[in-house]
Amino acid sequence: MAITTYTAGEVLTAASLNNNFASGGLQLIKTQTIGTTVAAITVTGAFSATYDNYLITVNGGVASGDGSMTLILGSTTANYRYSAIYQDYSAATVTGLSSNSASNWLGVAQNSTSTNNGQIFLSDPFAAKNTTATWSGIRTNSNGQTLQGRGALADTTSYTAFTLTTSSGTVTGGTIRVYGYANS
Amino acid sequence: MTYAEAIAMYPHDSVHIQIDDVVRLMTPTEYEEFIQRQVEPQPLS
Repeated sequence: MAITTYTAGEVLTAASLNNNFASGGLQLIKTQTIGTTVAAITVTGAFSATYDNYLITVNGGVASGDGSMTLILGSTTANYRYSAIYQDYSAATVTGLSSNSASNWLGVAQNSTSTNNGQIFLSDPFAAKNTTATWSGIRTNSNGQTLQGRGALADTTSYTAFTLTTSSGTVTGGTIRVYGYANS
Repeated sequence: MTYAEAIAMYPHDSVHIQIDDVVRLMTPTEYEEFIQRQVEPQPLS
């Protein structure tokens, strides 16, 4: 529902305020604490007809070593397309990565023994249309790197879950949060 | 790196997989089976 605006002196009802809290802006859908030495984390019940657009964040915790995380929707391991660039803090060059038929989106979060970090924006994972994604991740240690990617999943499957998988090693702790962008 | 390649780096033959709040050990074979089916209608026992 649309956000209600008020005039000076108007009585603010609980129903109207609660509607405003549930409308507009980012709505936290789910918080998932990452367990101990896990190599993959599946988050179910993340996407629904309520929202078209989603933000997934990965914060904190530690990894067993430098690495990154891949993302798949549902159980689909085909038809992921992406183009991404990354750069090491110690390098002057930017490296490009791309695929038009990958088994996942790569580098959606960056892992290190210091922390894990990633932000993934998804459009239409629940809708029966192609899902698009943009993401970035930052590895904070001195020999770290940053990565930015964009891509699509070329199918019309409706998804409610996603899985983050480490590129190598494991992660311990940290938090995955899923937000929905209010449609109106 | 694919998951199979990542698995190959492990010294053990199983890894911890987390599904929501549940963490359990899976062998690579179990994981491959897991990833090939929708997680919502068939939650792991």
